[in-house]
Amino acid sequence: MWKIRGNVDVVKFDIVRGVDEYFFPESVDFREKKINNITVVFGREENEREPNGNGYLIDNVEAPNFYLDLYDEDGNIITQNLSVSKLTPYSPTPLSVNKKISLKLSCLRYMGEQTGTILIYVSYSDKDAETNELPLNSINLSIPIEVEETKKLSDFISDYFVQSGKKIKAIASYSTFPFYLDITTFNGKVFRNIHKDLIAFPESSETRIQPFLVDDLDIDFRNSTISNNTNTVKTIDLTFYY
Amino acid sequence: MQRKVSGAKSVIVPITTVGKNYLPYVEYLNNRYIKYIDFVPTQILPTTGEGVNVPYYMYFSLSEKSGNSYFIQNEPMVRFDYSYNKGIRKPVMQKVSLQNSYIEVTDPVLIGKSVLLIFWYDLPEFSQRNKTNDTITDYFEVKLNNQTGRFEFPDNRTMAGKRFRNFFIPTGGITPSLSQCISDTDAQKLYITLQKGNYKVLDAIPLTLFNDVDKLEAVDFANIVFDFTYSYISAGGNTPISFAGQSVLVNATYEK
Repeated sequence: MWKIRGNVDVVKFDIVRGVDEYFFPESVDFREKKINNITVVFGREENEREPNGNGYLIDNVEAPNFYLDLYDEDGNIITQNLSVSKLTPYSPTPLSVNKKISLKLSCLRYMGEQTGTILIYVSYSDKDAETNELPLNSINLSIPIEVEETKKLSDFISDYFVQSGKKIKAIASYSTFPFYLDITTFNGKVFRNIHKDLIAFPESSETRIQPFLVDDLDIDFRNSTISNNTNTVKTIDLTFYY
Repeated sequence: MQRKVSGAKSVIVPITTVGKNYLPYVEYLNNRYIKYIDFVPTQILPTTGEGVNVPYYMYFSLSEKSGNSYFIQNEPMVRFDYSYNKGIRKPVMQKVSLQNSYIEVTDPVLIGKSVLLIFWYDLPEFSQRNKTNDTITDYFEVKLNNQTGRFEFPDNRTMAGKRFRNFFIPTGGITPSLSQCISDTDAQKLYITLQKGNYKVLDAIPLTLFNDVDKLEAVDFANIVFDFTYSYISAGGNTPISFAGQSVLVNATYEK
């Protein structure tokens, strides 16, 4: 069974020298919401930039130096010193929380010496839907994108598909290059800065079982964008399942 | 299909001949319902001797309990190698007769080495069904702080008597107590034994089986119990211990 992601919020932790505990900010969308699961994204390519900034993501090899403490809203422990290697997008056992968490008590702990940024994606929803079926129909976009460029998805998809009002059930990419995806829907739901690793399909040396399933999104392709935060020109493949 | 396991036992099969090499009789596995079998590609066995570290030139036949027929016959050993099958294990799901089961070897180079197999089985005495969806993922560290090759679990009052659902053993990095965490290479030389009283619930299981970051399916326990005071990690083989002073970090998920 795969969890359908009702909403996803990203928390950016800027790791600086001399600080080993990092608390969640109070101003997050999942405040007082039931958390489904948590995924942590590190840089997998040299000089991979953070979204909307000039900083760089901390390298994937640093994952074993990060630990996560989570407490529920009553102050009970959910996880204590959980190695973040278990929470990377390629882990077979994503952490299922199914609780509201205390933002005051929950924290990330770092034992290494690098500086940079890591991204924590928190999936939350009032509905706790699951499925074991992947949709059959799909449309593929091939998007050439320059260094540090942001492009609208509507420029690469046919007007016929946009007008047809298909509800999107899953998003995937076969590209190996990092990118960020911003999805806006007509009913106001927004997925910001979705990293490639969250929607990547299996590569030769990696395995993955958790597709990026969404809850029948009515995507506004004119206001949805993709951005290249690396120093090289790319062509990105993006597939929408409906 | 109930995928969760509650007991595991390592079985060492000496390769003595080209042809059929029968498995030894193992009292622990007598009349037990076997769920899966893993081939462990390692040169360092839990005991002395040289292990087989590649799954080739070996074919596995597994006999049903009566010993009259084989429900797995001449299956290439690679199908049981957890590093190849990415955690998608071939289901056994029945009682077996070990002394009628065998590994057929076709390459004389393997003679004198031993094959390490892990039998995952049902152990109803020390497991139970889920009683709640509420779990805690906590941690403990086992310090590899002596030269004897046997490292006891620390006394842990928080987790004593709890029912465990999953172990995750990360490698690399620094642990929360600022020790060096064992490397991936060293994890392949270490074995975990969980004991409840005198019974070995998990008996000499390689730590690498619990580092499942590149697997498609992880090993999940059916709410097993064990005593921290009797459980330990041991170094395999008789090679010098190179990881003294380091730690094994265990992220343990248990029923609240």
